[in-house]
Amino acid sequence: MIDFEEELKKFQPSIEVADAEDAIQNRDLTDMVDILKEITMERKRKS
Amino acid sequence: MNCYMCNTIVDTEDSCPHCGADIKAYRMIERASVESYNDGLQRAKMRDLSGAIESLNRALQYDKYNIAARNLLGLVYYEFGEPVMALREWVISKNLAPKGNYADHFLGEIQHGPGALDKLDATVKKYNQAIQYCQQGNRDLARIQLKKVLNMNAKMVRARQLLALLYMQDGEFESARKELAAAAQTDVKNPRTIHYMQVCRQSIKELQDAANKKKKKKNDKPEYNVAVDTAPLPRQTIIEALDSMRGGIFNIIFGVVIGLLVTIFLIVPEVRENANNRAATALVDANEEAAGSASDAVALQAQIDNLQEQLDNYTGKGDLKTSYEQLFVAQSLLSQGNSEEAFLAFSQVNRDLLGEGGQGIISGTCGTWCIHCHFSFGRNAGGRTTQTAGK
Repeated sequence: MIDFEEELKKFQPSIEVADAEDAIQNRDLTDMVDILKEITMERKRKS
Repeated sequence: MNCYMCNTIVDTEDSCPHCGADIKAYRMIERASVESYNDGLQRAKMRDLSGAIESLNRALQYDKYNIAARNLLGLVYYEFGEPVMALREWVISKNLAPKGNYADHFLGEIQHGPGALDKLDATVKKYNQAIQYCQQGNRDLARIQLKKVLNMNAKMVRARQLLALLYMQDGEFESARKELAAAAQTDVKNPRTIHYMQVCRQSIKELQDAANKKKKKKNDKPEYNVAVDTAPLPRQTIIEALDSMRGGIFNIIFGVVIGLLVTIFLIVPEVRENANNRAATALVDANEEAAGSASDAVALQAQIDNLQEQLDNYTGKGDLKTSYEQLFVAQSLLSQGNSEEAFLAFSQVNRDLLGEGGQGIISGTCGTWCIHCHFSFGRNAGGRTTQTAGK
């Protein structure tokens, strides 16, 4: 059986249009290419 | 392909001829991003929106410049009923690749559509309000709000899931199942929808089984044993028998209590009111009768007086006759010389009743004698004689 309270906690409020700017700014845009760049630069620095 | 460090064009080399960067790793990352995008596209075509979101996000984690993956992710979010998330992806996409970006088209649709953005915002606000109502325990208000949300955006999967959850919480599994089925049409393989649907089906099955069992128990007639030619009682444990007996006793007590309450609150007041009415009517009748009796008494008294008067007149008339008879007897006896008898007869004459003739006889013939006799006999005779003679 479903625990209503527990399930309810899983429903988070949707982002409203007024908060769209924050949502865009807070979007983590770090990708693996960035990490690869970091690694490469670190390696170069060490060498 | 360009080098990710110095942007030098590279072909099939494993490292950049200019800066020596590891192009092989970069190429693998790019390939993984494209594969994830393809997977996401495939899932989106199959309306597996949750899976598509997962794959497309992975593609962007490999390479944030995978514009096609980002635009598709925005579109999937929009279809999923998350318009602000879609806007976010399209705006970022536009910033990363300002020229020739298909995100322009999506943003134009939303921004330039009449009231489209306001409608999307209102939908989201109502959904958030519904979540608040749920947290406050106002499930009815939450239901109403969620229905409004779904009227505005029928594809909002999370709203349908929440509404289904509320239905399930209230035991309305059939309604929940319908909502989940509608959610499944938008997002086929949503894990939450699938989970809720399983619970819902299981609950419906359990309820149906319980109902069938009850129905079967009700319709379960005792089997007729041909060999023994007797109808055996249905199998029943002692506890069940006690339970049923207890239920029967409870029903009887309940019936008695209801009967008593009905008697106390409905019948007794009616009877009491009837008795009061009868007593009041009887009192009124008695008063009327008493008043009638008083008037009857007056009438009877008047009748008595009338009769008495008649009787007196009659008595007087009798006396008149007797008086004349006695007068003639007295006159006759006096003529014969029988003074004593004449006096006795004369004493019975009522002089007041006599007419002028009678008076003349008394004053003429017998007057002097009578007066004499009166005084001579008056000493020995009673009051009546004296009185009569005196008159």
